[in-house]
Amino acid sequence: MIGKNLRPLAIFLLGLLLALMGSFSQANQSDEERVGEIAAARILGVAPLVDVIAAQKYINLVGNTIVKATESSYKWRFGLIQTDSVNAFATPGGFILVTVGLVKQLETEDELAFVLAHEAAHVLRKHHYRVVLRQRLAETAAANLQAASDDSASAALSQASAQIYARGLDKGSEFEADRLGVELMTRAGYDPAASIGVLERLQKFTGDDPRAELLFSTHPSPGERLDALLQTNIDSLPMPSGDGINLRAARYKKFLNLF
Amino acid sequence: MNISCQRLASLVVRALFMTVTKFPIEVIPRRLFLLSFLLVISINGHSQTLKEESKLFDKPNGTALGASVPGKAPVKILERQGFWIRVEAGGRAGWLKASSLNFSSNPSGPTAIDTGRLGTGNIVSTSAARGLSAKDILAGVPKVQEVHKMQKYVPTEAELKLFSSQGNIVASKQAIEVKSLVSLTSQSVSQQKASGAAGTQSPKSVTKKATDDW
Repeated sequence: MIGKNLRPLAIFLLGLLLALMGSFSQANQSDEERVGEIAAARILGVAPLVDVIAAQKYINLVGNTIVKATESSYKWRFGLIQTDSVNAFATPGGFILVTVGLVKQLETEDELAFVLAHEAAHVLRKHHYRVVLRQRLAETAAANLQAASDDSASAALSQASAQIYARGLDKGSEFEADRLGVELMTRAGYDPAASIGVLERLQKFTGDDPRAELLFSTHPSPGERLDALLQTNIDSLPMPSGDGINLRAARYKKFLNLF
Repeated sequence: MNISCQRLASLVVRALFMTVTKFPIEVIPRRLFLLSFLLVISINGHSQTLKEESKLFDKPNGTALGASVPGKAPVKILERQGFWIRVEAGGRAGWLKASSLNFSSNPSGPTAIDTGRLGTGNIVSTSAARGLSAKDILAGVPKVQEVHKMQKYVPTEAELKLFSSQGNIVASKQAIEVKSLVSLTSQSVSQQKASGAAGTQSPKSVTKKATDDW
């Protein structure tokens, strides 16, 4: 009798527990995404999306081809942004932005694949998100970033993320993103040697070129990155056929003509 | 007066030669000096050094060509095919594995001083560049609606499939892992020393340690 009476209560409590667990895990997931959204908004505030749907679609097709194999739960979004600066950005939760300045330096889709894969690696390894979490921990006393829901906290988070992107990550994270980036692109079916091509192209910039200023102040030099990548087993990875590479290079040229 | 001017000019030219070519001037016969200087400047795309004594090959994955090129020798990159690079070193041309070069010694790149003599490889900066500097990011106003726009461009499963087949993109069926060979060796050695064991380290666990260290 008692059991029968309690059954609805038990079901209700179980339901409540499941709902709480669900919202808790969603809150965790969405915090990373929310942080990423605020950081991406900051970058897009300076350099907006290129207003050409076909070009944005192409970037997303290449990007999603790479991340498909990772089976991660992120909602990946890729964007081409209007600036002559040569750079690419990843923000937590799967937002990836690449500049017109950078894509114009590249010659093949496989080279673009390396750039996007390097950024996807930052997201997967939570490089920026971990910096945000560390900062939050440090600033709990000031209680600015902890109360995540009000406007002033969002503004503080926005400013904090701007600083992270202006200052850059540590060198180790960049080298790791290069290695994991090559791993991701190769797994997806792109040519791992295209990574060498990208870094070679970046090597042609001089230190005082304003277009590469932020890239060079936030990353190890392209030469150091080449040396680090070539000290891996990169040259024994499977190489795709030349036909595919040429096909994709031709389609990349068409993409460049879109904007 | 004339002699000292000549001497000074010669010193300047020698210094310039060594800076640009990274080649010890003593190895060039005096009569060929000017010619070699001009030749080096004209072919100079990127200049790197060899990590250690290496043989040149006739083609990528080909056969070795005669004598070795000494370590630290300057090499000029002529072209690249995959992970092989065709270089000119010690007056000879041939192919080398990219990993036998030291790229961070390159005179161009972020630490370079642009003398305007680094050949056609360098990109000349444009003064009208619309930038995205650290200052811009710090002073910028966030645009959340731009972030929401990105959602529109996410491809469907069918679009992705078509894109892959049109571009002949075939996902690799092999397990792919990019491992740092340097830290692998040094870590294996240090871990073996620490444990005093002669057993081999599982490559996966060692790589994990190396990649987590940031």
